[in-house]
Amino acid sequence: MIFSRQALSRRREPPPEEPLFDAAFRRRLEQLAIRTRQVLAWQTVGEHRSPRRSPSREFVDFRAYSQGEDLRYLDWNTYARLGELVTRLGEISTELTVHILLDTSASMNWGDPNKLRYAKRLAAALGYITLWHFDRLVVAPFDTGLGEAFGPRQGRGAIAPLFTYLDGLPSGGSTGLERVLATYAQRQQRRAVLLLVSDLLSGEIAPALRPFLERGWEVIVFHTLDPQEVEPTYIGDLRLEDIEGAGAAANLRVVPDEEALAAYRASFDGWLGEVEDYCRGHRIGYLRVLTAWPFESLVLRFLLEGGFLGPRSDRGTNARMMVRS
Amino acid sequence: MITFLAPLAGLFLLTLPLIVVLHMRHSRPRPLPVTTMRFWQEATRHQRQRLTWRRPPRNLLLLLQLLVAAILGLALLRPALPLPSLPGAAQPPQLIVVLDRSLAMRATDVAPSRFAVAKDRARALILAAGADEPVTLLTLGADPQLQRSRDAADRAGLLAALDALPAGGGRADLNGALPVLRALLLPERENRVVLLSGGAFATPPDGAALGALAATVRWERIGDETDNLAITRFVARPSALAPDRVELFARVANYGAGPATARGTLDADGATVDQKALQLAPGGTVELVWQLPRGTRGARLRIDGRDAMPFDNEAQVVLRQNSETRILLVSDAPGGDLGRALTAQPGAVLTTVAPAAYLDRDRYDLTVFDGVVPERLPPGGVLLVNPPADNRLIARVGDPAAAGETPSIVRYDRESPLLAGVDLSGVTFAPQAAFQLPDWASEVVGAKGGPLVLAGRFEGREVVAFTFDLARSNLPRKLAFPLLVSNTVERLQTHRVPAAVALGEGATLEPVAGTASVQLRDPAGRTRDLDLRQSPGGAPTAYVVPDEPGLYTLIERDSTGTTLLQEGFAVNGGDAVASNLRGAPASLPAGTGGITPATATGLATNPAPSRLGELWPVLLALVLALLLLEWVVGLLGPGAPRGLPARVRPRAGLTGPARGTRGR
Repeated sequence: MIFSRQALSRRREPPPEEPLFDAAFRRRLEQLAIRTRQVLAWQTVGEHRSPRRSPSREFVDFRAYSQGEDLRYLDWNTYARLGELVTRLGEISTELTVHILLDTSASMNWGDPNKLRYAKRLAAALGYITLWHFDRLVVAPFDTGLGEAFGPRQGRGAIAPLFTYLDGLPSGGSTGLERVLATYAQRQQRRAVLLLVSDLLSGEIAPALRPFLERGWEVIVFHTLDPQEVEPTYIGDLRLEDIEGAGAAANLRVVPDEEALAAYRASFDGWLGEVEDYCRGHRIGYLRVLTAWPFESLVLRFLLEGGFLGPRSDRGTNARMMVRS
Repeated sequence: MITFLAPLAGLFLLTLPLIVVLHMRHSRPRPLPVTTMRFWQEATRHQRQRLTWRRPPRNLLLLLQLLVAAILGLALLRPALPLPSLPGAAQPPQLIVVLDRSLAMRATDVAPSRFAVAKDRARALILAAGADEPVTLLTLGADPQLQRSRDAADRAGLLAALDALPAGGGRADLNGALPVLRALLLPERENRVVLLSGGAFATPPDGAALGALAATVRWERIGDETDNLAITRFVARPSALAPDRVELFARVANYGAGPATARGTLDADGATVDQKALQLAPGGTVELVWQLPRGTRGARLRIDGRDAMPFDNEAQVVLRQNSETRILLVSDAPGGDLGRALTAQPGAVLTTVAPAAYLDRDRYDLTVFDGVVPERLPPGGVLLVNPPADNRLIARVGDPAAAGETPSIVRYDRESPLLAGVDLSGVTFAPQAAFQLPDWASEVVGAKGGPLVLAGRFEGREVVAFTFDLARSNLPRKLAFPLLVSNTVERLQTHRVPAAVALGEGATLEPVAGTASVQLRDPAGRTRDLDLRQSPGGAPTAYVVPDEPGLYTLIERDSTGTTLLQEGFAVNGGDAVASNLRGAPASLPAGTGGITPATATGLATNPAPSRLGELWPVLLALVLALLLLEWVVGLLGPGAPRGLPARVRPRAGLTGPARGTRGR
């Protein structure tokens, strides 16, 4: 190039940080709730419709009386008419504990738009939904180790602190995915929902998620990628520098010709396939998110279509339980 | 047709391969941070061995840079189109009329003569030229002339010069005119050359040079193949067999397609002395010899019959007796060897004066200074003998007071007319200081120290110098001495009237000393005054161009009207080339045509360069636009996002808790 592109790009000012959401988007989030496949909470009253059924004023169904059941929930009117002892079943509401593990390594702090910024918005949206419905939320950042976590917090009053927390999260060094996630799983006493937001570029997903699956957690992976990682369009003579690496292996001289780019795409697609196959085989929710996609419209749509979120009225479909009423 | 006005700038196009080479080199990789190496390691395994050079990349940046360099190189070449091919512009060509004025154009096979017809045609061509079309008139023949007209404003002057042109003489030297023609071509426009000639060229035309002429050449032939009889040579010389007789020699040629017969008649001093019947083969010649008694003043040869060139059917010769040569010897020893040698010259009238009595107003044909050089040289020829050391013509070498060395002849110019028949072997000289050869002279005889005899032209007059003392040399006692003096007098004699002049050719006449006016009487008996022009050396000259054959008489008078000289000379029209009206080539090359490139011009007097539509501004604008595009491409180039490829376009989520796997 005859005119220096570098000289011009140096003058480019970094874009100002946008607010995570606007008010309209928040209102859309308030209508949504996180959906899970399993019963993950039992005793606490929340806004989730649980698959557990227990005595309640919210009548749902009848069940034949079994010996030992509380006689207070017998339906005497039915006994008077039909001469059978039945127990009234009602629905109870439960609460969820949602853990968002947010990858803040250097590889996430890359791209245009920035992957970490995109991931923060995703975490903020999921956290907002969680807190709005009075579920318990924990947000834990990690790179080589675990960072200072947010929560556990509950209630709508924690929404503003959550946003402040996410805004202030720094970007770190390399990623220690397996070790960090294993450590985190060991510290938890109770099953919960794990939302993993990461590019998964360092480490292997299977050993990282195995401790959670063994403990019965519901896991959803939000695979956050930049379009240049999926479909690089570089040209020229390049010296690639791994922003998480160090030493000689962190540099690689490359001329991305057609042959090299095709080989890259084949290798990258193979890796994506392995990750998706693992998630599918272990009933792990998986959503690939590219930072080029419009967040408010596309990401929420895909979350809904994929069943990661559901309307507020339909919340807890998979966590319904019958109770005596 | 595109003309490149600066062809050397084409060297700039060498930057094209340079750009490609630069793109093929991996000289300085650009650092680019990426999030992982795990996929690049495998993808670039094939590149490890060839990162120094690579194939030329196929990218827009290289293409644009090559385009920029190519168009810039093209602009530097200064391509130009002749304006007539551009809309709204007209560029007039130049018309060059080459008019043959040689002797052959006097032929009357076309009425009234070839030259008259050619002039009419030249006039028509000039009148038909465009108002802003430059027109040049160039004549061929003994007296070439060049007339130019820039446009219609001075066209009248050109036509007047054409009308004033008389029939000429000599031979049409077309090859000799080619350099002039090349110099006349105007740059950056079409040059049309029209040759008006009968085709009797002095030498066969140089077809290659004519064909390479950057002009459109058209030959309009004047006249046809015509038979002609001609006297091509008629001279007289003293008879070698009989000292009291003069020998006449004549050559008659038949330039016809068939055999010819004619009768030749020889008149001597007005009386017919012989008649011969001549049988001439086609293309053949007959040579005739007569012996006439010494004292015959002139002779005329005629062959009967009429043809296209009647003036070459008659020839005259003047049998001139020795004319008087007035010589002044300025010497302290008038009775010496030098005086005797001068007196012995044919026609010499010697006057001797002492140096003290010499007056520079005296008029002589030749002045000899012996041992002295005056402050001001007289007009006419000058012979310096043994010049003193302090003369202003020839400087001495070393100390003038020294005795010097004895010179001996070590070199001489065998081609010099001064040494014709002169044998200088055994000639000795006395010791003397050497002279330095001056710029105005050339050495004829030289010794180790400097010239002994030198000759040259100083301030317009002929000067010969003998730098040695004749009295101290044995040269005067040698046979070579009178021959050397005779040759010297012949060279220094300023009065020269040619015995014969070719028809239509000019001749320079040098009247005798003291001449104030010169008159010329033509064969018809008409007398006219000739202009005397003063030369730098003071010797007046007259120039005459005889335009009809016959016997002319030159009359030279002094300021009092006294006739100093009256001599005749003959003007003959026969010529071995010009009289041959069947020797014309069938055709001539037409030149290359087109627009004359700028480098083909030479004359500083050319009109201002004509208007050509230069294309470099357009090309430069194109270069700027491409540079802008290249800048934009470079800005958005490597590493910059280029929209969303198909693989990264938004698509629905993959696996979810509610609906299970949805596929990739």
